[in-house]
Amino acid sequence: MPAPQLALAAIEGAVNRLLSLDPETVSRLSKLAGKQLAVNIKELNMTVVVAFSDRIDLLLPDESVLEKSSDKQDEWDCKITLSLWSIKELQDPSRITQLIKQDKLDVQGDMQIAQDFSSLMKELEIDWEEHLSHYTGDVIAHQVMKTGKKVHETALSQLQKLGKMISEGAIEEKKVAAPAIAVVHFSDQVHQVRADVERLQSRVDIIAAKLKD
Amino acid sequence: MTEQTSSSTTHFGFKQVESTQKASMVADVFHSVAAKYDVMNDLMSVGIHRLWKRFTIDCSGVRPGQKILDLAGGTGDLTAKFSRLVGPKGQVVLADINESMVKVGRDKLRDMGIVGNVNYVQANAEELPFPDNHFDVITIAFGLRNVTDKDKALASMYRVLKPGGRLLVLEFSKPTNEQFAKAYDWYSFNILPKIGQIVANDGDSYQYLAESIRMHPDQATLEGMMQDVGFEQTSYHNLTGGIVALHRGFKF
Ligand SMILES: C[S@@+](CC[C@H](N)C(=O)[O-])C[C@H]1O[C@@H](n2cnc3c(N)ncnc32)[C@H](O)[C@@H]1O
Repeated sequence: MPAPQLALAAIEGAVNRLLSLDPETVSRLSKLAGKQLAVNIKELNMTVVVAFSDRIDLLLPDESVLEKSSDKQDEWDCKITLSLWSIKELQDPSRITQLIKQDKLDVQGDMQIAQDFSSLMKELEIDWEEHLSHYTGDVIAHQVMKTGKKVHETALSQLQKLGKMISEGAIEEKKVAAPAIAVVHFSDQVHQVRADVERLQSRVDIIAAKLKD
Repeated sequence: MTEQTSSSTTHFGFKQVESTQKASMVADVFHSVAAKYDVMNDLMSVGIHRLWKRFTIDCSGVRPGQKILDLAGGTGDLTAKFSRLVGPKGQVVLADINESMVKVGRDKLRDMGIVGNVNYVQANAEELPFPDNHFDVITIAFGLRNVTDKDKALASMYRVLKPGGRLLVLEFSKPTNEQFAKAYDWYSFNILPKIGQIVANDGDSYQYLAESIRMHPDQATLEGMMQDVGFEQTSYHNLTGGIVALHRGFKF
């Protein structure tokens, strides 16, 4: 952690950017607004929840959340289980039934949500390859990129790589830690950077005076 | 390590001040920053605070229709997301002791088009003005450290939480790796104030910040404090090497 959060934040950002570029987004999303779709990816043993509103939010419910929800069938409006390999195929709504028949996809709950989601992805023409290579290039796998090779891989192998990195937690937390220290100080108490010297001086004076009392 | 060293004084950083004064000192500090808080937050944090907050939401188990309290909510990062997730039938309350923070938060969220299911309340975490058993989820992100009487605040959160509900506390904590903890400490006390001095002509405030982080109870202590006021199935999760920890507790 927070490697998977990083991955999902990037994907969520990309998808919402696409949504915002599409003038028909509002009507497309309105069908799904308020619904939550859980997507379980077999290989990663990972469940991502897609929450629809006027945009989408991706959640990665932690174990405690999943445990609590497992006894309640209706926790998500729809739950699909699929293989990493079928993610791209999900982008074609007409394939859904076939995927189910082939045991490549399992849908529980409101089937319509899976259908609508599939068409949303299709209409957005999300280019997973593009997004993930951008993502892996920019954010996750600095190390991978260091080989100097340009990433010309298929969406599937990108996804595979991504999945591997997520599941192995291959992002070196420590590398993030150093800037993080600098960062947290600034972000948490930022006012102090901006505070006007006089005001602070007077505050310090007040404290000093009180301490003397 | 307890925060309260006697009944009437408390820490303001390492300094002992009257308990009654700490709240207003803290408020002072946040009044001036409110308007610029977000800009600087993003500028300086390169977004890492966002990942910590994401993780918090991921652990919340939030569902449409629920009632959420974003305590010490500041400018409303968590509230914005919760608002979308609980949907029109749910409700999010952003509560903060500081009026300016609440105002900035409200303006910001309204500009983002977040209206309808969010309420803004000026409130002290120690004395929450809500009925018993009211919220499904309570979050307090980078807020508990600033609260004078943390035990009282935790008890107050416990009271307003519904049975079955959960509390999430996101806060600075103690780095787990000894070596790293030392480096972090050294950095906080030696480098940071100097940067503060150079950049902002204000080393003292950075000194306060470093002190307040060090004075804040460590992971196990905070978990114990949560248990003491009644929380069950408590646990915590270290983030970024323990610089920050997310504590969780349930009310049953
Ligand atoms: C560092 S900000 C965090 C804001 C926001 N939760 C975030 O993570 O970006 C801390 C906030 O805690 C608030 N605060 C401090 N003491 C408080 C108290 N006793 N009760 C409620 N809020 C308090 C401050 O006004 C400030 O807005």
